[in-house]
Amino acid sequence: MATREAGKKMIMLKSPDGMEFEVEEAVAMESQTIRKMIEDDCADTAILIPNINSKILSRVIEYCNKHVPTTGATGAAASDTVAPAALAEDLKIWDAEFIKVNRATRFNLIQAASYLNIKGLLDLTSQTTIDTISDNSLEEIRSFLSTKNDYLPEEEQTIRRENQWAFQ
Amino acid sequence: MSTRGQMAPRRRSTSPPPASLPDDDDILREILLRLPPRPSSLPRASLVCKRWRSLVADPQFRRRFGDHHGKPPLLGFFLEDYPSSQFVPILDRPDRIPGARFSMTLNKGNRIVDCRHGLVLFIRRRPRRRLLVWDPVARDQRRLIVPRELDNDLLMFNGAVLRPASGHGHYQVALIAHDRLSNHTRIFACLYSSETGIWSKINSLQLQSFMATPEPSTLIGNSFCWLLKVHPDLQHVILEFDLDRQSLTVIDLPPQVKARPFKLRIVPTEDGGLGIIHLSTFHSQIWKREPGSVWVHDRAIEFEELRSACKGDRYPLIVGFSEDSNAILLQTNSGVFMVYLRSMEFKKISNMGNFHLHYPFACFYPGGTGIGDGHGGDDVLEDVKWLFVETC
Repeated sequence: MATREAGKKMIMLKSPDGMEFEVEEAVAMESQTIRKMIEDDCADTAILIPNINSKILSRVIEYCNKHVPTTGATGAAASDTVAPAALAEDLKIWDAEFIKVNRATRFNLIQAASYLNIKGLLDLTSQTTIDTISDNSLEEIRSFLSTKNDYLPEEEQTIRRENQWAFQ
Repeated sequence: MSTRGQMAPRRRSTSPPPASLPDDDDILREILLRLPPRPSSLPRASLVCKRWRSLVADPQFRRRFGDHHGKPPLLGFFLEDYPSSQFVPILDRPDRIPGARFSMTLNKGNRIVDCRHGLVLFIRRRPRRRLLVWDPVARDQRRLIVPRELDNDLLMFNGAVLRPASGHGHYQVALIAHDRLSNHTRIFACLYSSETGIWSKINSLQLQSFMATPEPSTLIGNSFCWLLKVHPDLQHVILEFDLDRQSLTVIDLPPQVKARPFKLRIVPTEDGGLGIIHLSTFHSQIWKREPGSVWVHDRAIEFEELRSACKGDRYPLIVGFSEDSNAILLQTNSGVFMVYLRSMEFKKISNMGNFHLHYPFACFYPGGTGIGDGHGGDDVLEDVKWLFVETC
């Protein structure tokens, strides 16, 4: 297995469109799915990540690089000198910038975070989606998520009647 | 599809279709779990489409929704008020659940004694002794017949209800009984579990003669705690019922605490231990019980801001305590105020001037169970319409 620095194990991630990404093992292990593969010794050479194209995979790696615990290479410089609260605030600002993507990319990131089991990324992408729609009308929600109203009018009335107060 | 008025889907346009979520229930579920925990969230989500409704109505989703959000929102309060235990909502629209949605007409002899984890507990004295567990959200009532040994008109009852953390919707009811004659001093306790459908063995404790107090239980750890007033000088003590061992213990209060009615409440300390708050005009003292059975003065609280918000000369009385919000309810001449014990922020929850004990009702409001499930409308339940009968 390749090593970039002494003590830093590297791992290769491959997207279905043929791109390869060399990442530190600690970064890749932000994904619980990959962590399990590594721990089960299923990741000797390279790991193929199905259904996640290179554009999305590179964003996922960018996220993991930023969020890997600071004992890893990426945050090591900051960990000794910056207070945890400041680091958390820095991450929050970084996340807010990171998630400024179009809807299609965000949906793809949700799918990738779900498959790769990266809790922080799943929280960020899902919460941003919910925050976008939670104050919207039902019709706006359906439009935003390309969801069709498949209720018959009388079914819709029945459901509204159940909890009429929630629609006032 | 053509008569939906406002809800009609948009006409197909020539522009490229918008990005859509992956057609994967697991992913949609992850997103919906993060809907805000306010009561209108899931009812509204269930009207988006049938798929959403089916996801949010799933009991497993409801459990995960609760786990994700932690403490449920406080929806309002039930009042100790004959002939109905009126519900007073405290949230704004669209989360303001009208009182009529949680309305139950009570027969004479019923009284509310506890409310916790989305369940309300009543005790009925006539025509036969019964406990009634009411789930206002599910519109479900369960009647409990008391153990035969305690089914005696000479006994006074109190009780408490909870849903155990890992109970998957099951509930437990504690029944406390004592003789109504002051020279009799034995107190009895037993625990009902809806999971097993049976009452536990009855435990009892010999006690100095005492008077029961009307305040409901406070849950401390896995024990229900009530205040009692013990003769001869009618000072308060705490009666603790340990749910794990089903044992009863009496705990004396610090000698400095000599409280008048509705000036004392059992509250959990910051680390979840046993504490009390003692109110005196617009000050209060919080005491906590340390390991080794020692009471320690924790802190003093001044309600100066509240004093300026209150008109009239009547001093506040404690009429409720919300375990979920860690807040006490104070009845004043100007209405009822909720005071958060950690931040000391307060807010007025009603203009009510009459004295009523308040029973806080907090829960995650579900998104419905299915079309045509017979739960439409805001019907008023009467306790003659027993839906289920459980026997000991």
